[in-house]
Amino acid sequence: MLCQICKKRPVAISYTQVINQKKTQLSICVKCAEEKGITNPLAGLPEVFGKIVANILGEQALEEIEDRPKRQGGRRCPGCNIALDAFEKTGLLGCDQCYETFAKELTILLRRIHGSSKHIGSRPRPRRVVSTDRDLGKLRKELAEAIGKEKFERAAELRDLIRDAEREANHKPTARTRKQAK
Amino acid sequence: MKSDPFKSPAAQWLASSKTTAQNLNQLAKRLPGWLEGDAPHSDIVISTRVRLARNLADYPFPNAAEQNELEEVVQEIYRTLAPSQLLGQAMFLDMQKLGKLDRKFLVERRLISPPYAESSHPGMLAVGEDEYLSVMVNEEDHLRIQSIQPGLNVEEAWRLISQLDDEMGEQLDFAFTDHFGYLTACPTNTGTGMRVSLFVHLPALAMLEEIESVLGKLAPSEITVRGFYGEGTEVVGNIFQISNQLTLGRTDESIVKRMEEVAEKLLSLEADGRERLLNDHRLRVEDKVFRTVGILQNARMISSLEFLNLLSHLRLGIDAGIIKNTDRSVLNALMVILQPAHLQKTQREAQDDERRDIRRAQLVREKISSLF
Repeated sequence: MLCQICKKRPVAISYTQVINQKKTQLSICVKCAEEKGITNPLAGLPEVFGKIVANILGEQALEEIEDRPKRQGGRRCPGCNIALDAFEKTGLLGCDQCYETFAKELTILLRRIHGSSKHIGSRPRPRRVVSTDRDLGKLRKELAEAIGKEKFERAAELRDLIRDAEREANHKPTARTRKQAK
Repeated sequence: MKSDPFKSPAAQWLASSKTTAQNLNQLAKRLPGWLEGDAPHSDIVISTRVRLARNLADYPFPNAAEQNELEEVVQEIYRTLAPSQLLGQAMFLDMQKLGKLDRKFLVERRLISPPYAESSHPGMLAVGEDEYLSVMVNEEDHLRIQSIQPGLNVEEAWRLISQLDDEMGEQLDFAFTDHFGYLTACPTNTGTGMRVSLFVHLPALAMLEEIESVLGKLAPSEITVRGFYGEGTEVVGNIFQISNQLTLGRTDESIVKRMEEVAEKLLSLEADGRERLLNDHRLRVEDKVFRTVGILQNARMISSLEFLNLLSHLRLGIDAGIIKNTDRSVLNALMVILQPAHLQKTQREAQDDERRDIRRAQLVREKISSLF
């Protein structure tokens, strides 16, 4: 048997992964193993296979959406312009908006992978540090929202944060206006 | 160091990245803190790793982002991490300034992943003091935060990584929704973005050929097992990586708890296996261990794969009391420093495969002789 990477030298080790009692194997020669820096089992090889697995799971899950019209294959995410069929190929989403754009497909896929599509784990901490002008803009927006939703405790916190940041910014007239990401 | 909040992060980052080459050479001369040999259950669990996947809300994920967006991500994260107390004396490495050998060295060191080593786009590696905490920027996700502890210590690894995660969360907007949780490029990480991995040494279960059935029984749908198989059924170094597979629909606490339960089960099964192995085949085990000692003390060339297998037998010999008065941390250190890129970086005479094998055998003879 020849190495699956170089297809020249004989196989010395097989990298094996068992997921859901399903075995995936990558058989490679010593040279390629050393080349890829994977002679140390402690280093692991997790993400290489993550993608392959996502592809397999992805195809299966997406096939299940029977009424999926053909044109949907070309539907694109407005955030990053990645198409659904590109995701089927790479197993990778392009941005946070993809989760909205492809919510229906992802819900089925996530259920297949995790047995659930609803997060119940930890949440990010609320913002406490303001270091750029863009941050300031965001905080002002969050403040308006907090007031709208009558979350007065967070609103007071945000008001203080904004006030402090503005005071500091006024002492530094050279503050750069940063380009908005989008 | 308190950084000037409005000073351009690009300028700060550029100033720091000039030291990249020096930083890496310093790293090569030191040993990571997680090699310690007398941590909890370190006879069976070599180390515990927790990693979190995070993305910044304002930028496309690395696979879909433009060059300049990835550079901005690096700068934002540098600005956040540079003043952090949690990383201690931290190092910041500009990935684009690193060559092939340096990247291989970092893979061997467990600081970057093999696919990250091949990537050419803007990235940064932040390494905390003693390498307990590290952060890869622009791997598959903007942030891959990693926490490693020696032995079985999920709780401590989780505590440290949560502190860093919280600190970063107060300064950055993570891509997160109430429904899906933390949003990641690959749906296999969505939700908590948390992966707990145990690196376990299971020589008895492997020798008794019970490994497949044992690992198959350990909650197969929630646990991923990885190992390197050599020719036949022997697993290279008898080391397996056991990780949680599910990241969504579970709390962080329940993932930690689940992995601790899996570890407990494995510990008792391997301990039971070792007892049976020594009761029923003591002479065979002793023979294997002493032959290993013979090779380690006398071989003139040892390949990296052969060394891992020898090390496994030696480790078993120490754990079983066949070899006495030996410090396990020496073996852990050898496991790291005798890898190909480590040798190439630290030993001037080890620049090709054959000379590396010769130098490896030489170093083994020096270090191992002090153990007996």
